[in-house]
Amino acid sequence: MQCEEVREQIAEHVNGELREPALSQFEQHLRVCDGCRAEAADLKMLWTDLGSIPAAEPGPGARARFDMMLGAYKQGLEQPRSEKPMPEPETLGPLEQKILTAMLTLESETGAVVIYDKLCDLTGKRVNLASFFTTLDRLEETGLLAARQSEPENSLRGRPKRLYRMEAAGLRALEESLESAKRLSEIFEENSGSARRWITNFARKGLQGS
Amino acid sequence: MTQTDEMLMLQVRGGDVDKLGILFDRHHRTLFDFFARTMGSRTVAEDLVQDVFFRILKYSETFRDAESFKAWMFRIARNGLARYYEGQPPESAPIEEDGEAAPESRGPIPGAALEHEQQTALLERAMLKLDPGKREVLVLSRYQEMSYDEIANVWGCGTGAVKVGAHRALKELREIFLKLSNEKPSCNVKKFENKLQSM
Repeated sequence: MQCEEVREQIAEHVNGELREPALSQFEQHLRVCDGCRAEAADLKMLWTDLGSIPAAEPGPGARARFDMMLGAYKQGLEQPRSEKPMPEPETLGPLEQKILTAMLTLESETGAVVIYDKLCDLTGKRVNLASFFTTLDRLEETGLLAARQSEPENSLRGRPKRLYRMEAAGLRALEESLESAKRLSEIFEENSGSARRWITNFARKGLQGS
Repeated sequence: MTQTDEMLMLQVRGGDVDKLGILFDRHHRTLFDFFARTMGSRTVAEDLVQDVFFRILKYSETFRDAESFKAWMFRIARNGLARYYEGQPPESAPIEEDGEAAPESRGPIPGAALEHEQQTALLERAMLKLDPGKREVLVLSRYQEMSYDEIANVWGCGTGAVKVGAHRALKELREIFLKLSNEKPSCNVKKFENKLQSM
């Protein structure tokens, strides 16, 4: 057996994938070849050390987020079938709300990069790019946005660009979510004064008590 | 009797979508670990996991009777990764690492253990510097404990291609790891040891 052939089998061997008769031939070669034995030991150690990198654990809110998505989906199933396969979510998430608001201020059809810049502009901070694209994708999936590929002449660096536009459902969802926020804001205006007084009183009593 | 993933998925496909909750509980940690290790970012991983389950619901009709649920789920996950990479504007910054994987305050660490932690952190960095495709084969085989046949099933290629990929990935990982080790001699370990002694 050639050294080169044996070395190509090391990954397979450390992974426990090497089967007979190749396994016996491989082990036999290692017994007589110092170079391949050292190489195998080295990669085996790397493979073992990889096991020391701890697993990543998801945050505690994962199941709640899933339940919300499932709830929205089921609600859509119970409604009479419309031409849209997916239901509109009951309420918009904060990032969805901001993206749709950013789109209101832009041209009717816009590329993702322009929307992203506007979004960062409106929120005054650099929004996580991955969250942005995932949310944009979801807005398209749920029919709140529509997207199409641009014509070749409008392409960026020779590549067709994806253009997004607001759908009627998107405008309606934004309107509803802003109205609900407005109602919350009114309740806040009416009641925050008394809440502030309780908090101040409570803090004062707490201080006196200590 | 515990129902298999495939039995549950067939029920989801048939309209009993609540059964997806059981599949979520069984697999979301695995998926999160896969994404976090492949992308190097927890935030992206959280979003992509949710996206996978949304797509499982949306495309449940495409799940075939005799198919492995895990392989099908990982195919959806890989499509999510590809969409993520495509969505990145050409001038975008590389994936952010979620901070240094420095050991948190777990009390004083003895010298040898500290060195081991440093080595592990370095190896983690080396993994993130590996080409995404090569990193993926290592993540699937080492952490998801998938056989080459299972990976081939997910990738839609022959087992031979996975073998070659795994071999190259491991060799390249060692090169990057050695390079990083040479760049950063154990000065941090020394500094830490000095600090421990002065305490």
